[in-house]
Amino acid sequence: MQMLRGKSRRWKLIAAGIAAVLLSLVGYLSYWSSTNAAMLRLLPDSLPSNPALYRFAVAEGQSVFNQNCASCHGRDLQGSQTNGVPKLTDRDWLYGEGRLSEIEQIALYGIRSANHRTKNLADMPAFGRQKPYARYDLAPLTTAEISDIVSYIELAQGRSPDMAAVKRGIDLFDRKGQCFDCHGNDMGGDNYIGAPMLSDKIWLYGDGSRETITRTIEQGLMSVCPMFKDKISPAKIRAVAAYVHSKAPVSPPAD
Amino acid sequence: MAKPQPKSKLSEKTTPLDHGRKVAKNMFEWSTNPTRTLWIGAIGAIFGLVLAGFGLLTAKGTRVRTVPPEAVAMVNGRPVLMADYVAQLESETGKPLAQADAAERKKVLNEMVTEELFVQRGIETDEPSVDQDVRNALVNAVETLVSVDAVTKLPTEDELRVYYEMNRLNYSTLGVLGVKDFVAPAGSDPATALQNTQAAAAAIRAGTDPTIVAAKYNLRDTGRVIGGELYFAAQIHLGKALYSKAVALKKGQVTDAIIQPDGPHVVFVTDNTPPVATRFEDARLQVLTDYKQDLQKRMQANENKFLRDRADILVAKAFQ
Ligand code: HEC
Ligand code: HEC
Repeated sequence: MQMLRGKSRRWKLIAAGIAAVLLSLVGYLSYWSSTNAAMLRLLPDSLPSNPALYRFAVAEGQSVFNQNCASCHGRDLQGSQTNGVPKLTDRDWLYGEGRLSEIEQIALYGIRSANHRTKNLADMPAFGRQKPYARYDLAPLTTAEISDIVSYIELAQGRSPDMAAVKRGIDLFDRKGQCFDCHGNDMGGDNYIGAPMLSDKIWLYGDGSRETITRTIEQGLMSVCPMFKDKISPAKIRAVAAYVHSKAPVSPPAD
Repeated sequence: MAKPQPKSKLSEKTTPLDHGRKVAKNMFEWSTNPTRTLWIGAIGAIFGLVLAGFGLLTAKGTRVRTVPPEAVAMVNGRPVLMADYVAQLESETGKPLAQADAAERKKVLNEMVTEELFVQRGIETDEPSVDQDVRNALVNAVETLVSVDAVTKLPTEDELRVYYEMNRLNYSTLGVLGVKDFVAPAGSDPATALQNTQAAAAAIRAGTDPTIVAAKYNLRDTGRVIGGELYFAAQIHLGKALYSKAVALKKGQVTDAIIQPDGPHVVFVTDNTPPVATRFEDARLQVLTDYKQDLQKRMQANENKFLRDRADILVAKAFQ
């Protein structure tokens, strides 16, 4: 019976091993789901002040991001200026101030997507087209007029354009083009409707050259960020929002 | 499972039959060994629990008696999402949830619960089939929903190029026309007026400054077109007849006298820049936008076809 006893000990060891693996799996799953639940139960904006849960969310969020968002925003979150996809690692938010709840809203409902909760209040009109704007009537601008406005933007950028053109440009910016209405009199932008600041060096589309600014004004912009509400779970949405939040500096200091 | 015993432990001359017996005996022993049986049972139980637990924790619809962590309330089993609640509260009160007081929080939550209840009731009473507004909203919702997938990835460079080639005509600059439009003063004798405008056209053609010519023949500048205007705008302002004559001329040229209801006109062209085709590189931004919008339209058309294909539609004889 010596032999049988040896065998049964081996069996016990194997069984104990399997049981241990399964137990730790159960343990992990229950930890994972209870942590997910705890992360979800918090108000989105209080997540960052909960270091353990925040760390968990950021770690989970990275793979969610790579799977769902990186195709447009890039794994490094740098976006693409040829396609009008913004960088997510700067302080310059098109919408809001980069709070976790704001990012979560965008992950849920997107920008210019189908849902009534999506961000969809304005587009950049195509001033080189006969009917520049679908939402309301705006007059198209001639090539010469657009060139004058670009000169004005160039002045705001700290370059030295022709000042006669700038003068005409200011008038067009404030009146015929109605640029001020969305971008503000000071070109500071409007982070409620997603109109970018025009006086900074951060460009959604193109590199800020005369040529690309002209193109945006002529051809317009209405970039879309898809909604993920029914595609990925609430926990994954919260996690990916935390991940994006962790990559960007918090809102700019009040100045 | 039961492996044949190592040779040394068996008698040298085992027949296949003996071997079979041995295996059977081992199996039998295996199942009568109580500790081992317990272990196996325990593993099975744990495994079952893992599966059941996982199923329970992840399945939808199994949590109706509690509020799931992502929600702030459940209304007849449908969640009011915390993210929606936070956003709605912010947009209604203008402040983040942390700064809202209890009354504000309660008010917004109540509104959201009421909305959910009314929506559920509306479905019960089959509002969609009676109320035209609801029907329109539903049609809109389905149209947009169908087209969402069109934008989940960016098109490739090749897709964009092909699209550009297929829609070349859409990609050009807009033409610009600048003119001075002169007309004989109202109330003048028609014959003299016509003679004057004809003479004015000839004088401009001969190289005299148009403003001087106009003064000389007593013609009025209508000011219908100021500076350079896009072709379509110039057409609206000048009217079809004057526009079509003017747009055919080059900068510095002048039309003949053109008789109009308000008297004879003569139009001097100060600028005429026809549209030019835009290269792909320059039109890419517009191509990208158009491509996406077109794709959305196509997806809606596909959905329409899909719904028709699977639907049972009977049309009365007289209306086929
Ligand atoms: C189809 C490409 C695409 C995908 C996929 C995509 N995005 Fe976007 N995203 C965009 C574009 C384009 C914009 C800019 C919209 C605009 O210009 O208004 C944007 C904007 C955003 C913004 C706002 C940035 C700002 O400055 O305010 C956030 C946040 C964001 N996306 C997060 C995500 C997350 C998280 C995911 C994945 C769950 C994702 N996006 C997936 C294209 C995409
Ligand atoms: C109806 C509101 C509206 C008006 C009017 C408007 N814009 Fe915009 N503009 C926007 C929005 C919204 C965007 C961003 C579009 C996007 O995210 O896809 C934008 C983007 C831009 C950009 C691109 C900035 C970047 O970072 O790449 C430029 C340049 C610009 N606008 C200039 C102008 C000028 C010049 C005028 C007037 C002739 C004007 N806009 C009028 C709403 C407007």
